[in-house]
Amino acid sequence: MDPSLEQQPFGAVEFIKNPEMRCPCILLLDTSGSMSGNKIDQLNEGLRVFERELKSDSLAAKRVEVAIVTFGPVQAAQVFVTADAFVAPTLAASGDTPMGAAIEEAVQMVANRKQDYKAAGVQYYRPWIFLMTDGAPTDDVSRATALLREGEASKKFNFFCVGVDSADMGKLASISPPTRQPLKLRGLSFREMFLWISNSLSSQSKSQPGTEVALVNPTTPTGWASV
Amino acid sequence: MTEWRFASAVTVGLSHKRTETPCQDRVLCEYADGVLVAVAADGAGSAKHSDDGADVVVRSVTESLQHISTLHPDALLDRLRVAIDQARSAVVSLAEARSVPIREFACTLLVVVATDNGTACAHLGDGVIAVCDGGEEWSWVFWPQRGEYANTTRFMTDADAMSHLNIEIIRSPITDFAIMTDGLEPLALDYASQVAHNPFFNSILKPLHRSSCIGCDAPLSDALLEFLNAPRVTDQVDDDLSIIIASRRPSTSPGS
Repeated sequence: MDPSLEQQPFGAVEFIKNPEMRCPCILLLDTSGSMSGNKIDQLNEGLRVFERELKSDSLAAKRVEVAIVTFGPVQAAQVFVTADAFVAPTLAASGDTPMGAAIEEAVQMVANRKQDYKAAGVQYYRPWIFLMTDGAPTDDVSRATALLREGEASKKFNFFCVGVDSADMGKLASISPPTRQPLKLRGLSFREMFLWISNSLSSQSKSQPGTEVALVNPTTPTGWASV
Repeated sequence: MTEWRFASAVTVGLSHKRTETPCQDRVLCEYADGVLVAVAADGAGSAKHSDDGADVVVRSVTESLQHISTLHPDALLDRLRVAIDQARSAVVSLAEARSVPIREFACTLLVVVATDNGTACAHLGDGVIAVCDGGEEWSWVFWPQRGEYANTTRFMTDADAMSHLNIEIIRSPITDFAIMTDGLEPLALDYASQVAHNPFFNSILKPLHRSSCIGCDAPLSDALLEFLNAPRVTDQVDDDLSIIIASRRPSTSPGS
C-alpha cells in the first residue's frame, strides 16, 4: 500500500464548497441637511472603521453582507455586498428626513434578500436594520411603525435605532418596537458605534445553534450610547 | 450476512477551545448479536450543561437498544421511539436533580440501528445520517432540521421534541452509513441542490472499505480523529466535529 495512504488514510477526503452562510445588515443613515459639517465627517470616518473591522475578520468578511440606504431623499448608497467587497462610501449631507419611506424601503430590501437566499439554498442569520438619525421624520411614519412592530414580533429582523445630537428621541421611541428602545449616541462617537456593530455582526456570523448572540451593552459609562 | 466494521471520532472545536467550553458532541457505537447501534448527539453551544445532556442521551439510547436482534421492523421502530423518549426523560430527571432548567442540557440526536431485518434511523435537529446500498450513490435519510435562521435547530429538550422526531426504517439492505453532527455538514452536503456530496462520502469510506476488521477499527478511528484535527478541516469549521462511518461491504484489501 502507498505509505502516505497508510499514514494519512483520510488525506484524500473530498469536500464540497457550499456558499457561506450570510449575515445581512442594512445601515439606514440620515444624511439630511442638518448632518452637514463635522457630523457627516464623523459618520464617514465611522463607515471607514466599519469596513476595516469587518475585513479584518476573515470569516465575518465572507459572511456579513452590508447594504446602505441614505435619506433624504431615500437612496440606495450600497446594495447588498459581502463585507470583503464593501468599500465605505463618502456621504454628503443635504435634503430632508423621510424616515418613514426609508424604513419601508429597508424592510422590503430584507424581504427581497431572504428570497434571494432561499432561491440559492443559502443559509442566513437574522438580518439587522440599523437606523441612525439626528432629527425627526418629515414624512408619515405610521406604516413604517407598524412594519417594525410586526417585524420584530415575528422575528423577521433585528431593528436598532440610534439618535444623534438633537434627534427627537421621543418620536424615535414611538416608532421603535417596544422590545427595542432607541439609544442616544454619546457626542459623535460614530467610530465606537460602528466598532460595536461590526463586532456584533462578526459574533452573529459565527454563532452556532442554541447560542444567543450576547451583545455587549453599549450603554455602560464607557459605552458609546445612553438610553 | 456479513459483519459490520466501523470507526468514529469526536473532536472539540476551535471556537470552544477559545472560550474554554468543553466538547459538547458525543458518539457511541455498540455492536452485538449482529446489530450495530450508532448514536451521536451535539450539545447546544451556550447551554451550560449540554455536554452532560448529550452524554446522558447517547448512553440512555444505547442501553435501551440491547438484545433487539430478533425484532421485526415495526417492533424495532417502536422500540427505537421508546428508547428516545426514555432518553429524553432521563435528561428531564437530570435537570430536576440538579435544579437547572432543562434547556441547559439541550442537544440534537442522530441514531442508526442496523439489523438484518432493516435499518432504523432517528434524527432530531441538524447534522445528517447518510446511507449507501452498494454503489457510489449516497442518500441523506432526513434533511437537517433548521429554523429560518442559520443558528436555529431543534433539541431533545424542546417540549415538542418527540412530535418533531424524524424516524423511519429502511427495509432494503444498505452496505454503508455515515452519521455526522452539524460541524462537518457543510463539507458533505450540497445545500443548493439538497443532495449528499457523493465524493465526500465515498472518499471518507474508502479507508474503511480497505479494512478487514470486524467491529470497531480502532487504528482507523485514531486516523479519523487526526483528520478532524487537520488544518484542511479546521480552517473551514470551528465547531465540535463528530463522525461515525460503518460498512459491511466485502473488504477491498488484497488477500482479505
